[in-house]
Amino acid sequence: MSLTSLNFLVFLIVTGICYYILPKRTQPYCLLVASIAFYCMVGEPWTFIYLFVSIVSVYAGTRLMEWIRKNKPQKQKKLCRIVFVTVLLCNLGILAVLKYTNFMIYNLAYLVKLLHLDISVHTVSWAASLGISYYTLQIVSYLTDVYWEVQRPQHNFFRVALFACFFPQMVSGPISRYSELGVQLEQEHRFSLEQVERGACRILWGFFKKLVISEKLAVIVNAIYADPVGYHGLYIWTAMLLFPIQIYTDFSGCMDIVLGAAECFGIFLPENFRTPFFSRTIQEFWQRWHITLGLWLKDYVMYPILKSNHFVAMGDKLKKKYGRKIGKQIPLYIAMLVLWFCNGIWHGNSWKYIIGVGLWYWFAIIMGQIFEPVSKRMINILHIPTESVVWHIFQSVRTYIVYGIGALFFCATDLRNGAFLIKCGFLEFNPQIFTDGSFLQMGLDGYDLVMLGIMIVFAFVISVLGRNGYVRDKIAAKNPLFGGFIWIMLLVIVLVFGSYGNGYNASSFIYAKF
Amino acid sequence: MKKGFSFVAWLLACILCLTELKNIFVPKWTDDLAPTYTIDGFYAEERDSLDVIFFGSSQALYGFSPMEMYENTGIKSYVCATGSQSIVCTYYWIREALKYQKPKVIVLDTWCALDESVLGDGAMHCTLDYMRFSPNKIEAVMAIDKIYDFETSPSEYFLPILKYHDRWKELTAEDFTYQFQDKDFFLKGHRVGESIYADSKSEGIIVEDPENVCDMEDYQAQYLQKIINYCKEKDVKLLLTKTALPVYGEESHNTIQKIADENQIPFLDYNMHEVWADAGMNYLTDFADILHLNINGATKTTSYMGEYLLEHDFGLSEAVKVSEPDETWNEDLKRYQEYLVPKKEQLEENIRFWEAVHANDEQ
Repeated sequence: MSLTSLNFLVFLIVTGICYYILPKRTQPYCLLVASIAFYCMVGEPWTFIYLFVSIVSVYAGTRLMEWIRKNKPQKQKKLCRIVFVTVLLCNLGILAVLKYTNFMIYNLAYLVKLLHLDISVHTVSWAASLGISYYTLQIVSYLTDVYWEVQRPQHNFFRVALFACFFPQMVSGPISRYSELGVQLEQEHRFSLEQVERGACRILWGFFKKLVISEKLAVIVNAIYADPVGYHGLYIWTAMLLFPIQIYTDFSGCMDIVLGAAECFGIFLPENFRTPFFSRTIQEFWQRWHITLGLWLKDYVMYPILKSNHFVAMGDKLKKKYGRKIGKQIPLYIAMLVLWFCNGIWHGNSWKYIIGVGLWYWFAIIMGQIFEPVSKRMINILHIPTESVVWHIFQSVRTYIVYGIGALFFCATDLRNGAFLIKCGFLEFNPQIFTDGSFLQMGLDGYDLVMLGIMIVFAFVISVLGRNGYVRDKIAAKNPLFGGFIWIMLLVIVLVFGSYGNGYNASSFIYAKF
Repeated sequence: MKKGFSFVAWLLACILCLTELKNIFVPKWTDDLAPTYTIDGFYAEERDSLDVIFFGSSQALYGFSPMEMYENTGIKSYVCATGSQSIVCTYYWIREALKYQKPKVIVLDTWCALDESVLGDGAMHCTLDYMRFSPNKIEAVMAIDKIYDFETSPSEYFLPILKYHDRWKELTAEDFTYQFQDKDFFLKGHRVGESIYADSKSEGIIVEDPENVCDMEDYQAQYLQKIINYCKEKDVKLLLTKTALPVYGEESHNTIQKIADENQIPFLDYNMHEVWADAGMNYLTDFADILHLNINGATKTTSYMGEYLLEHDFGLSEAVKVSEPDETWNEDLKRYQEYLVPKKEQLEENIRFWEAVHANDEQ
């Protein structure tokens, strides 16, 4: 049951009806039951045990820390740290074992091979828990907040469980904090037609992005990356430029569905995207792209590293030896390196993610910072008006390309394939492919391509309009008839131009004439 | 209150929109008055006006001509059959038809009870897409989803836009105008075969071993029984039949005959030598292809069926006697006769061509 399936909508409606019909105090339990049911329908039901272990360990850990603070005040720091580290390792251990065992085996085998030792490699095929990368970070943030005493522990086990597995966000985030989501899940929610309508509209917009744009773009991008030798030269660069739009409409479309679904229950999840393609730098881009992951890594990885005694001491030493600037920059860059490494490996158990979605952006950001004085001087010499629209567009395009290069590795099968794709991009300069109909041979015909272009422009215009607040609020503020017309038109566009279902194959109807 | 009203209005607009999308996007299988016309035409018939309804697959719709029967006997009939129709769909179509008509007889061509070659989900869609939304449609969709291993999701039958949205590139004027057309279709579900197939030399079969039967699928036997029971329950006489086929085995006949005997219902098999001869079937001139009858075959089959229905105890002779001439049917008959002229000419030409081919072969 994917988020864009009819089954999910039916599931959402049924859950919504139960949620508002049942007594308000039972609402969290209704959502918990729905979340478990969702888990069983989407994932392997038996893997729920991993999620259960995580929830139990974090619940027990937070309660134990609370007990220690109350009853053992003199030893609380040490004992709480032991509890915290134990539970943290338990949760990260489950994640590491289920998701990264093969990665570790491959890397170890590679190292052993370097030593010219002959060993046979055996990989494992353990089914990971559904949404493990998301819920682990989410539940660890709760554990850490309780350890840091910025969050009071929740006494009700089921509410902690619901916080960990709230079904709309289970599969693809966003990664919420207990202070944002947990508190809302504890509250009672009255049915509000306006709210449900807003949620439904957002879901529809998510469907539009995912089904009308992303799925269509995927046809072209996948065809090119699947055969880089056949589709070389400008094909590769075209795919590289299209993929960011594809992944953005895919992921942000899913987020719209998730956030809209949660909104139908009166629950507001944090935004994960804020028009990232308008960013002027890659650093800004990542502040507007997968926001909750970026914030999580900053709050729970980078800042703790920077604040650690070792790093503070190292910073002091460097300041004394190389001056204030270097003393500040070196620890920051090392902490950022760890952050981007984590960002990369979180995306998947392959070096292509570590390099493509991690270290490449770290490198780009560091280079941006190092060469910032040079770039400023150049701007002054050339008298470039930095506030002009043209300069902004130039910066956004530059950022887009930097992101696109890293994202190319996201599509590649592995690191080597990513490098090969880039190499294929230089095999030939073949601009004729844009005029000789070659693009019509990749699964989309002329009508599809024209319609896709129109839809991308439409989504872009909506993004521009949505920079200062939600477009749906602007629509709602207009005449209700106008609003209704807009949403129904969008529904028609999704239904007609979306990529979904088995489709219509005229040949299977050949017997209609008999 | 105001908000609630606007929500209801929004919901209604969505439903209206989905209905209109369905009307536009579902293919119009209207080439030579195929399934779309058959089903819409059935719904357009005056309520409780039909004496006989034929059900089955393509062999029924090629084999029986209601206009021919009306001209010969005055019996008003309709062929509610679609190509490669599964017996599961036939059962639900019988239920649906009996909501609108009270026929004296239901004639079921039994090919759909024996044939397993349902050609993909296309045949299901042809059969069910134009069926009105009703419990019958829901049950039919659920039943075929359970029995057949198609990729189609049940939702695609209820919201056909999910199935046909890709057609936006091939929409024609007919897709937009069809819904406004007059649905009085004079062929009454019949499809005219004008081609010729003369490769077999069949003259019907004589049963040598009555115990030689073929294996029916469980669901086929179950749904045939359901049809029999339902007709009994509704007090409608059921006549099992099988139109003539150039290639036909006794095991097929025996299987159905056994079921007919067990349930004490008649079975008129045109493939039995004596019926074949009585009906005047000719393998050289009466078949459109290896499975279907052409105009000649349909005329003979229908004519024989008319006589059979009047001569046997189906309660039709009384009904026909008291019924008054129907202007609409008479007009449709004229249109049918005009429609048939070029088709017959084409058939004659095809027969002449075949005769020439055979003559050459013999030389």
